[in-house]
Amino acid sequence: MYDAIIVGTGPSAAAAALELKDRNLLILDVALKAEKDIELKENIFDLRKNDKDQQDYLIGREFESLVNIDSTDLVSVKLKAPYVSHVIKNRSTYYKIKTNNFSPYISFAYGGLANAWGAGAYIYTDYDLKDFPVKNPDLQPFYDKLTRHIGISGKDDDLTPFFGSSKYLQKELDLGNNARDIYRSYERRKRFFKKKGMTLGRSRLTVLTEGKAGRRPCNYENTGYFSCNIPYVYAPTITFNQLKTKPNICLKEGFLVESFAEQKNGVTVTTKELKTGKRVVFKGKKLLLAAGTIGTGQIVLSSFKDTETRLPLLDNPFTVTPFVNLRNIGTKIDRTGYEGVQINMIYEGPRYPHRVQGSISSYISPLRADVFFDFPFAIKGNIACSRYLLPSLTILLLFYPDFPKKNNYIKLEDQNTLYINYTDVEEYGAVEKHIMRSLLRSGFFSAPFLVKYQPPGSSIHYAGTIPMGREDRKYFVDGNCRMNNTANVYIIDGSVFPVLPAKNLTFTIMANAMRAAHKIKKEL
Amino acid sequence: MTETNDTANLIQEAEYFYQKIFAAPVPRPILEKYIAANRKKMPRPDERIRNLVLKKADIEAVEMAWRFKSPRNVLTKKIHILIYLAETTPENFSLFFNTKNKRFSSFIVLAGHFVRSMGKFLKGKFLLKRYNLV
Repeated sequence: MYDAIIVGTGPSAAAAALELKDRNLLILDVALKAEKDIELKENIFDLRKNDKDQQDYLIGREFESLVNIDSTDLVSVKLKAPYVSHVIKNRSTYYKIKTNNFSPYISFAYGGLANAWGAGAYIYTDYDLKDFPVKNPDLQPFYDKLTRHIGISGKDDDLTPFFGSSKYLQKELDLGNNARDIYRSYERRKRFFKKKGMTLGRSRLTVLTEGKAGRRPCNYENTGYFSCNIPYVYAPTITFNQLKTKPNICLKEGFLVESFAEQKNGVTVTTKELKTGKRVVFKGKKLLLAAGTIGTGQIVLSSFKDTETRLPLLDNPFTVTPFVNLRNIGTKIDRTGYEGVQINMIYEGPRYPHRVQGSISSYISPLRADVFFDFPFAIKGNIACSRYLLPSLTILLLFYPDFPKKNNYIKLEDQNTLYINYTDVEEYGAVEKHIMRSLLRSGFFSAPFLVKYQPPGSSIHYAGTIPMGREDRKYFVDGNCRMNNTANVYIIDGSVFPVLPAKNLTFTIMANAMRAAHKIKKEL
Repeated sequence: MTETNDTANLIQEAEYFYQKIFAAPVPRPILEKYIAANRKKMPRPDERIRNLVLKKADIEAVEMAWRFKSPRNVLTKKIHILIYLAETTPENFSLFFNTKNKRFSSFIVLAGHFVRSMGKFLKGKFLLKRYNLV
């Protein structure tokens, strides 16, 4: 019998496994992998200029990157890249998913959805945790431990009261042209921005600026949109690749976890071995479910054969607002900055009742064709826009918090069909208009009709199905993530968040999973 | 339609579209991938596209007007495939990426395209009716 069984190989599973690395561990996952593990070592623009085989990793032999041309279920720019697309492959193969107004991203990949995450490492402050039974001081030691393990770059600045800090931060990444212009403008007009309720600062990213454990620092090749194997960007696979060499840790790939049952002194986990189709049962003293919010919800409902209960579902609503930096129209391609988020913003003011968080990036590495028909010109005009306007394009993703709502839930229709309903949605736009007006003074132009309101599910920040401390619900976990009415079943992924602040939750999922694993370790 | 006819049609449309957009003959690798991508993404041949190619229609004008009416129309999808393939060919790098600062001239180029696109849009609206596309 194993000391603990961990289900999943995503960020929460990695953090828990790291904490329990000296115990007899079994890790179960489908663990799909890319057909080929490529590492692109040159700068993306050099590859685009010289590499005759670039269509292999940009378009794909099966034209994976053209998926949005004939599909109405749009896939994000990153997840459709040929050597990243396995992250969401087979997402509706292992069980059927029916949805109403929700685009679910579910991963059965080794490392989970974090293979394609934005690498933002956001600490939850006590403001964010006000509806949680845990507070920041409970999580901070684990944030620090993870910061040392992962390697996080960033800087203490005006965002520190909102994003927290760690003494182990590496030096911040270099800013690209557009981010530098915004940041300088903010530094010059700080009083104006503060009056408008806007605070800006440098992003905290799981991107190395100093070498760590054999991983090299970022040198701005900007190929992260096309490969999962970027040594300077943290992915849970880095942790698992280290851990699985230990004799006491067994990582079993190709197993789909279907259900669990509590027994005397332990838990049995029923899986389907995908290669043979046979049912295989494993036994452990403790079970840690980390299959992702939707996956974990499905396993819990299946285990209790419950086709009645609606589990709440949270997802950060977000909007995308493009800005044109008037200074950078017609400038040459930007080789100076990181391709992901470079600047973060907090808005706190009368236009929305809660804190809203913005992530600002430039359009550096994705294919020009991905936004080609977003320009309103004839074809040749759109080619000119790709060439001259894109260097000035600055993108603001604005994330809103989410709270449990009656019509946002998942439910098991039968043992093989999961139903997702997400119809309680708010209208947004007031904050975007306010930010547009404020940034215009800094030379960044946008217009309300350019704001894209993303369909529910697109943020891939899912949470809330088995909430922590919500004793009014049929399924919940206590402050240590132990599931109610069980002795040895723990839920350690985003499912346990009772509300979802306007921040990427991955880093906090990891810290919370590590905290839960720390308590479990003491019981083993 | 037989596969031979279908291939001939795809070759003809790729040659026509590429010549109109990039003012050059379509390179063989792009042509081959265009055929393969169309077979995968749009397996059913579309007579309307064949008609446009045969009549040597102003493809930019028709596409723009059609896109404004129906963003996911078959012509825009086909051109989109071609743009993906053209962009990822090293020879076209300088068409899509600006390697030198051209602040002033870029404003003039973009202003020119704005005026040109308005003309194409109006022409396209007329052509859509002429070719019974909407």
